[in-house]
Amino acid sequence: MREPAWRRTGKTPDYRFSLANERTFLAWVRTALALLAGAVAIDQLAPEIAPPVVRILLCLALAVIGAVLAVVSYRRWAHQEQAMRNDVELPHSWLMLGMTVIVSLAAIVFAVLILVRP
Amino acid sequence: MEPAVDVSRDPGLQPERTALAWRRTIMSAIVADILIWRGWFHALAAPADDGSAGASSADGGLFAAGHSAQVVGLGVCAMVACLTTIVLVVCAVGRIRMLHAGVGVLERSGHIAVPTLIVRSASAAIVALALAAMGALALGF
Repeated sequence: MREPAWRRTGKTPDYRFSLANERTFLAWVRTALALLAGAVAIDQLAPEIAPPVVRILLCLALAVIGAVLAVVSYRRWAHQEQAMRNDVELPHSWLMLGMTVIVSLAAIVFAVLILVRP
Repeated sequence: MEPAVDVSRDPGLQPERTALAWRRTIMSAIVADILIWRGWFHALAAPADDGSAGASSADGGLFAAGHSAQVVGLGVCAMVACLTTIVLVVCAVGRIRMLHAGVGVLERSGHIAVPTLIVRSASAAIVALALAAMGALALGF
């Protein structure tokens, strides 16, 4: 596959910044994988955590967020490199705030479910 | 006496850290993979719930009449999960090789940036794995 056009614009960033950007991408990918593994693990290992419909919906929501996060992490990687190539400010991203809210919400919801479990 | 400094190596060990990040990612993918496989094996081993009591409980397992569609569906999810992990491992192994080769030629830094194809494939593999996980969740219901 040829590299996309934006990878031939501007100047090639310092390899240390390229590698740091790549590691950030991988860290978000692992977050997505953790959400997927968590969703399947809750469904299989704690089947009585909630009524079946609630459990499936919560686990599906986690899996969907994992899929979206995989796409967002690619876009973020590309946007960061474009910014570095063109020597502009790194783009602001709602990803960190969004994931903080999502992970906190998930923690609260599952904590409540564990507490109220009969 | 000071040990000799290898000038060809990045002092921050950036390529090595990046290679380790790829390894961690493979391990995370394998964990998700194993959980999806576990769901399939459980469905295989469980006796049919709604099949006729005599026939399906006798042979059970792979050829149980009651839940063969569910078992086949979970099997497809497990295969997709396995495939995505293979894609991810191929990406990671290729990338780790590039990084290790690049350690000696850091001054030609163009060679060490990650190709877009690898980033895209890894990202697409995770999306496919997510679809397999969703399928496994829905079928386990």
